[in-house]
Amino acid sequence: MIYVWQKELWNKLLGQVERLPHALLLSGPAGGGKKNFAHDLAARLLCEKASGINEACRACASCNWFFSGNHPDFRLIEPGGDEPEDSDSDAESASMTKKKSDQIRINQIRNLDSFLGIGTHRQGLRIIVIQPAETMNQATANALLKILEEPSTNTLFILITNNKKRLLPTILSRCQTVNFPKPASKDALAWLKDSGIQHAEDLLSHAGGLPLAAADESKNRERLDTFFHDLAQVGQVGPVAIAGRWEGWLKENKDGEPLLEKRTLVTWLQKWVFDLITVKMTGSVVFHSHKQREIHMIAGGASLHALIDCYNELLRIKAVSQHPLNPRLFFEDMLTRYGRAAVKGS
Amino acid sequence: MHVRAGKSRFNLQTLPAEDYPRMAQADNEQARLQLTQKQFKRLIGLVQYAMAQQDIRYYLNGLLLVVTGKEIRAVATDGHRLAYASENLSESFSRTEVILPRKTILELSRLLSDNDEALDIRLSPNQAVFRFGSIELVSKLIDGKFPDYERVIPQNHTKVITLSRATLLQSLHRAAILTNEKFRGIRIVLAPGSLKIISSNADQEEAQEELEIAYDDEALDIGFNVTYLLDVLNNVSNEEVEVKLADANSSALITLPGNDRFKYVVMPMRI
Repeated sequence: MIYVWQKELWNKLLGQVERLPHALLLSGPAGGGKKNFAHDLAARLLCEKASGINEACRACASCNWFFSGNHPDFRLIEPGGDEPEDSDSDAESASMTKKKSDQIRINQIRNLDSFLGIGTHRQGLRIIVIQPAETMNQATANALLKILEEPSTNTLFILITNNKKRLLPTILSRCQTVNFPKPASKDALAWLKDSGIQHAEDLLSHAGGLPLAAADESKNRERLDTFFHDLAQVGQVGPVAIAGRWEGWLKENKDGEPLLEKRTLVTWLQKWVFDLITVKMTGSVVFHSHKQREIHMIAGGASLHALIDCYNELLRIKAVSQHPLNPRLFFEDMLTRYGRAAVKGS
Repeated sequence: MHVRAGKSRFNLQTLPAEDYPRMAQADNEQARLQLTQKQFKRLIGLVQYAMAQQDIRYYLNGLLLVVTGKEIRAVATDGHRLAYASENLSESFSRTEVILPRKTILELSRLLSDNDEALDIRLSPNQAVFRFGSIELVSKLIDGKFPDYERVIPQNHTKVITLSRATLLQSLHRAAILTNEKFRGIRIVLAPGSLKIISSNADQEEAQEELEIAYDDEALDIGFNVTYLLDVLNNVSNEEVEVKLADANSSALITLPGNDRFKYVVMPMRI
């Protein structure tokens, strides 16, 4: 299903379906539904029944294969996609400890050769979705460039990126960019409410107006509340106790997925400090419309200089947030820096 | 699905039939030809060993099939050597070219039998269908432009030698033992009346084979990859082969005496 806020783009693209370029670049902030859009577009173009601006019929043979992930003319390229799936028990134990690669490897692009060199299975288009495109390393990007430079017929590449600036200019110049603006808050709110998400306004504002990011954060809402509560108490409780609690959030749940990542917590604090700064400078908040009172209170007692310094420090911290650092020390350090800037008398 | 045989019992999982990715049949047929299985098997047998394997130039990992006039041609090349073979057809067709993937060719040469039963070939711009016996093989085609083989085949090489295929093959086999494993280079030294095959390896070992030939042109010293020569000699069945040469930098043309339906071009190698 296409999200309401993407309807217009969808209609525009399908209106010129005969003149689609060989490569589309979907660009826009994360959490706006680009992936979903790309997959729906691929399904629609491969569907053998749909016409005009309709979505894929989800009933024909082609749709059947697509939605069960088996369409012979479709390839999805994601980071870590070239690693063998744990088929036997030996590999399983190995893959448990090994983290999935966060890059798209060159072999994943090279393996496309046999897909692109030979005619299509269903005599229609073949579609390759690359998400997120900025995770291609330099070698991979250049390998892709070779393909984009001499596109084979009946081929559509859909690249998805949250950060267009991190792509090679040579790749950008060979794709037609489709910009995904932030959805109107009315549409986004309506969607969140339809999806049965509580406190939609708060989450949406904290996610910077991006509905899917907000929906994703809804599972962390309680932790987010604790987070704000903790921040208010940095002065009284001290960074050490809080860091201990935050460390607990990183523990893995029963599916082996961590509840939260260090990076997420840094982002939350970044948003918080960012709002402290904007309140000081303009008097309004961006991410924390429901916490205006607290923000104003803390900002009142802090100096702009210290806050901006703190924000810059957070940027540096974020850069190393994926490193295997001791989480407790990591958070203590982060909170101490925050405390220095925002809490009087510390 | 249950399988029961004697005292064994198996329970197997199945998937729904509609999940099977059926191929869409092309409906824009360009040519429909009839050959015997033997004819086509011979045709692809003469050239298939020259197809590239996993070349990045994807169009080389296949076999070019050209139907033109009353002739069908098969061409395969990997950039170092090129094999060409043709066969007559009973009717005349407008020119159609397709590149069949390597896998299809290997399967076809395995499936086709050496008899006079009919083989029905249908070509369309992105699909080829082969029907023979109880088998129907539908193949996708390789997109791409095959190199211009007619320009590769040398036309006016003057130094012509005729050799017994079996003798040459055996000599080359022996000489091949002492070639460098990676480059497989041999030197062929041509002088009036004699042809020497010389090879040496990294351990300073050397092999020399001499054949007596009817030749009275100027001397020539030229290097080849022995694998490419062995390939062609192993895959043709004539008693004799004809080798045409020009100089040490131009390619050699190997043909069968009195038969212009087979040509094999091999690039020389600097040793």
